[in-house]
Amino acid sequence: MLPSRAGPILPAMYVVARMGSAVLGTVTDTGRGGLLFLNILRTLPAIPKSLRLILHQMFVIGNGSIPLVIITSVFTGAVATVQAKYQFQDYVPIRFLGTVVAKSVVIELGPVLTALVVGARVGSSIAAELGTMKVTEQIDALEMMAIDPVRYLAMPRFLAACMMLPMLTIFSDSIAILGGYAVATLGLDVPSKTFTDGLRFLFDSHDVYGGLIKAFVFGALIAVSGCVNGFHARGGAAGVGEAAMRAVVTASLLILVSNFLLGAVIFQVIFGA
Amino acid sequence: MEPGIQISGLAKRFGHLVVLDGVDLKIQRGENRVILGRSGQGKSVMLKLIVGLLTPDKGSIVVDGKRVVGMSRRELYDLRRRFSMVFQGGALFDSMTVGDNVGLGLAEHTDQSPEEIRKRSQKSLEMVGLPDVFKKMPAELSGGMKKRASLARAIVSEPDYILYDEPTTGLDPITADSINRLIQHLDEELGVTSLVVTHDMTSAFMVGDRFALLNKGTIVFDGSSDEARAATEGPMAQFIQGDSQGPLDSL
Ligand SMILES: Nc1ncnc2c1ncn2[C@@H]1O[C@H](COP(=O)(O)OP(=O)(O)OP(=O)(O)O)[C@@H](O)[C@H]1O
Ligand SMILES: [Mg+2]
Repeated sequence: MLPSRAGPILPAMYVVARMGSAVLGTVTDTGRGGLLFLNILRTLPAIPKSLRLILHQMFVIGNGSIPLVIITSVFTGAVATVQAKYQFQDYVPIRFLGTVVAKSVVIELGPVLTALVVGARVGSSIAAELGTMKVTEQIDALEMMAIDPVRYLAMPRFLAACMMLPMLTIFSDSIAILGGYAVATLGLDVPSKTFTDGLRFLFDSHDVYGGLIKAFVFGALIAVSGCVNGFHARGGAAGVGEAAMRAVVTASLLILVSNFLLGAVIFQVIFGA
Repeated sequence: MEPGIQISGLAKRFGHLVVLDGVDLKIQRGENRVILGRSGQGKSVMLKLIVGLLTPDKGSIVVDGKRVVGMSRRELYDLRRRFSMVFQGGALFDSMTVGDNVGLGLAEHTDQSPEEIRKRSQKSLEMVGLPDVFKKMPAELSGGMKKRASLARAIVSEPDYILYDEPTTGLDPITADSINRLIQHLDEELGVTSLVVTHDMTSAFMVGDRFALLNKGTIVFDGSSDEARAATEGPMAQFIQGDSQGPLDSL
């Protein structure tokens, strides 16, 4: 795509072209993902038969993600607190510090950052695993045994991600708020009671529900993106790497876009009314 | 209804690459059909077309009176439960033990107890000469052992049809001989219909009742094993003798 004698304008065009192909990839994945999603719904009656597979996937997702979520959340809470304190200057009373930290964590930072971090880990591993199965004919072997790969591979990963993302988000919210509390009381000379009173002040359970609904949708996006790219992987090890990369790019873009849309729908339309 | 597999006018291309271009072939119930052909001539593709893992561009495939092309997923799955395939690369599920690989189909489709399934899987593994690998992971097996484990997985469900994609490639001559005997045994004792894709002429003449030679998208020889052995000229003779000069294009 990039000619060898690239003038000064061409690198810019190259960047635009690359962005275009990333967006196109996401559009393709979204179309295929929609189809896979419908196919997954078709296999839901087989949940009882697949219980062990679902539990196993929940364990795989939860177990490996917890250390990652802890580290991300501690620092997220800490940064949110430091920034809030700095922005407050002397204009906003410090008793609102806990309020602002809790709300931003529960509504936005917890769900989104958890989804991005877990999405990178889980999305790429799903795509790599299914992609390897695809290129080594293991998916054909399943088909040959009259076992539906959507039911056997995609549906358990989908349900596990949908359930684990909200759980990890609750976990992340708590750790982030604890991190914020620690920084506020230990580093910023905020009295413990001031911070905790702030937490309770204006607390609204709708904020938590809204965040968890988002997390549920993000889980679905991560799993579908991973499965779609895995199922369409082709061409050996390089194809598997490509599938894993694309799964993460698509999931991340969709998480950010849908976060905006869901935010508007949940907090303006549903809870706002 | 005519039992067996009837393939007619089968065509398949990938992009600009024409792989099959009008294949006609009949496989009778109980027969052992050997499919020969040079590398890349579409033998594996043909096996996948028969069971609907790939869709042809043209032509028809009829198995025991039922057309495969256009079948619903459910019909395809019903069909495939009477088939097994030994994939060229083994295609063992590498996330589960060899024993679970062999038993998966039974676990999914029958209500046999885990104990019964374990017994049948173990028996299958013993038949292919792998009595001690039940708890191993596929990655711990050698290439030839994987192939045999894949064979064990294919026979455990006692299918009517088994499609073998190069079952003896990469095996030592003695193991290869025992696999050939196993294929013969399945055919003679259990009435299994087999399609054997192979490059190994010893194996071909040992297990095959009828031979087909695939070249440039069509069947260029179709005859009994005696006719194949007796061929003194033409593509079949060239293939058996492994001569790079002749009607089959060389590289
Ligand atoms: N899914 C696919 N997509 C694109 N091309 C394919 C696909 N499957 C097979 N081909 C091509 O079709 C041709 C025939 O492949 P096939 O695997 O059937 O050969 P073969 O006769 O089994 O060869 P070998 O003896 O080496 O196994 C090859 O050129 C291969 O590259
Ligand atoms: Mg092949």
